[in-house]
Amino acid sequence: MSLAFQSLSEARDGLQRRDFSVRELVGAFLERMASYVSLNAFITSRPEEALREAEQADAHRLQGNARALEGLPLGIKDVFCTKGIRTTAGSKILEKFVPPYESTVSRKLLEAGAIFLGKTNMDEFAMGSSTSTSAFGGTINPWKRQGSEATPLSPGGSSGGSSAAVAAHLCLGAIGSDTGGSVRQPAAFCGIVGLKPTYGRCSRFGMIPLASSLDQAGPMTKTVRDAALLLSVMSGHDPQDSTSVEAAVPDFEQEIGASVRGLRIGVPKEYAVEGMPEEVRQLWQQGAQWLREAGAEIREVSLPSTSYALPAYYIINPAEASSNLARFDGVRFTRRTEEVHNLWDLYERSRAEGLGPEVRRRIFVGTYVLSAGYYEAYYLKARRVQALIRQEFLDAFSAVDLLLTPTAPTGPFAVEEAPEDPVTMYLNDVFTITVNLAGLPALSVPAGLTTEKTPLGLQLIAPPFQEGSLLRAATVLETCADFPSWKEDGA
Amino acid sequence: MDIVTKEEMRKVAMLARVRVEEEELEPMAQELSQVLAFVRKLDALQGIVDTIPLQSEQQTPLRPDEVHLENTVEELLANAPKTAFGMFAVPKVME
Repeated sequence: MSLAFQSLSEARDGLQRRDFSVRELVGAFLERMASYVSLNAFITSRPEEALREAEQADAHRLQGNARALEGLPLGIKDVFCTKGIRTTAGSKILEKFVPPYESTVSRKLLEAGAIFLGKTNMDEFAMGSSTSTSAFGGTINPWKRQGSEATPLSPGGSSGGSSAAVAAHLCLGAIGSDTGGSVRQPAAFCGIVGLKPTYGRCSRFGMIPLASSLDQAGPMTKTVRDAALLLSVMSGHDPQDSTSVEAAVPDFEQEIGASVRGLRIGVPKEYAVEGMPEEVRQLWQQGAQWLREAGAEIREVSLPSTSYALPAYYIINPAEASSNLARFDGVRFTRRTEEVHNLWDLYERSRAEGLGPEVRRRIFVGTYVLSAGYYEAYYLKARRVQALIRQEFLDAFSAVDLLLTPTAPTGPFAVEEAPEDPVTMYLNDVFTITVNLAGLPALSVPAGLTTEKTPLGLQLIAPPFQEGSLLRAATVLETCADFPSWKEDGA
Repeated sequence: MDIVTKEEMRKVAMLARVRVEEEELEPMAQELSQVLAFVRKLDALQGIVDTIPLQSEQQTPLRPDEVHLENTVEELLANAPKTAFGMFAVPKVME
């Protein structure tokens, strides 16, 4: 069996035992990346460099100098600036951008010995839930619906390149970013684990921003243990990000297998939205039952303002995005339209030609809600609703330790079924967006299959900086669900 | 449902420095109106949320004012579409 089918921690342990070399491990992934190029999971791959780095990692291991992730091949979303490696954020406007510096999260991973196989595909500037808005073509989910295998499915988004790559065993794990669910929803769609840490847990330095007050980096992995392993490396205060928090970083792997006995888990009644498919509702109940059997106590809780989260998010997100994206001006590090008459023309045409339709739409919405006369009515009101939603979560956490919800309202939709109007597409994030507004940590764990045999995820939400209890409860769900990881046809 | 008029759309595009052709203004204004109609659900909270203070839990942290050399002029100019004399070059701004 290919070395690629292992989990990250299994590969780490196998390298430790010298069962195989880093070179062999990297070789196995490069072979699969070449076979599955049709998934379009990577925007940029770096096979030669990865093999060179594999030899160095083998040398380190032989010398007994192995670091936490020594020689472990990962994918990293193309939203993280990687020094000397092209970084596009899925946009034509950055098609030739090679960052002169390293993002803090990627630097920490590299300093721990990880090897980047490539930069994974994403919705343009992380705006989307389908990975179909990438200027480099959409990504395809390796999973197929039973009975309609020819229909390509969406991997979710915006970190759909990362989720498809991990699910198809093209890397041991990957890094995504989550502004409204962009780690958790694609993880659910592809049958893998996705963790969005507490706002401030990981540095945002060098991560091309979408909405700065909501963005967080997060691990996307085959197992809960792997997510814990990567989170321990990625976390920590960074003087280069003034919103990163000086909180102790525990060894999250210690949480794996710890008991959930006595843990109080809330089921928010407002999340039982109208039109939720029966299979999603049943899986949610099953998840609660698994946790109950493991000794947790299940309680119903109320988060009354839940239905206002989505409209508040779609004010705050475009407002911050329109400000952040002002830097892409055709002058300093983006493509420029030639044939311009003056500077004004240069800005307007370079941006119109370099940015896709959803990105332009959000820039316009953001510009509108921040413009004179509308700021109070839209933006400030949305910020107040955000404060209300956060307070309701904190109130709920006085009675329970964790919350359990579905990750997304449906299983993976077909690429051609992706909703065309923006508002319907935004509804896909209804269970995940609240968490970003409140700055909380949350995790999606693959827990079941739809009737068409495609993945469904359950989401756990914790109070700030309680990623440890998330990981503990997620391990219970993972063990009970015994989720069948994706396999090749006929395998 | 025309929350945003064609003229307002023209102004928004100008403020955002994104070119919108004349014939795209109308459909773009409608798309914007559709999104704004959705977010106006928050109007139902009028009077309820107005007194909620905005989050201010975290203070802006200070750090020592130390010089770190990270990027050189050459490195920073390497991604620019056009440079001249070690600077970013743009079309003439004065007539």
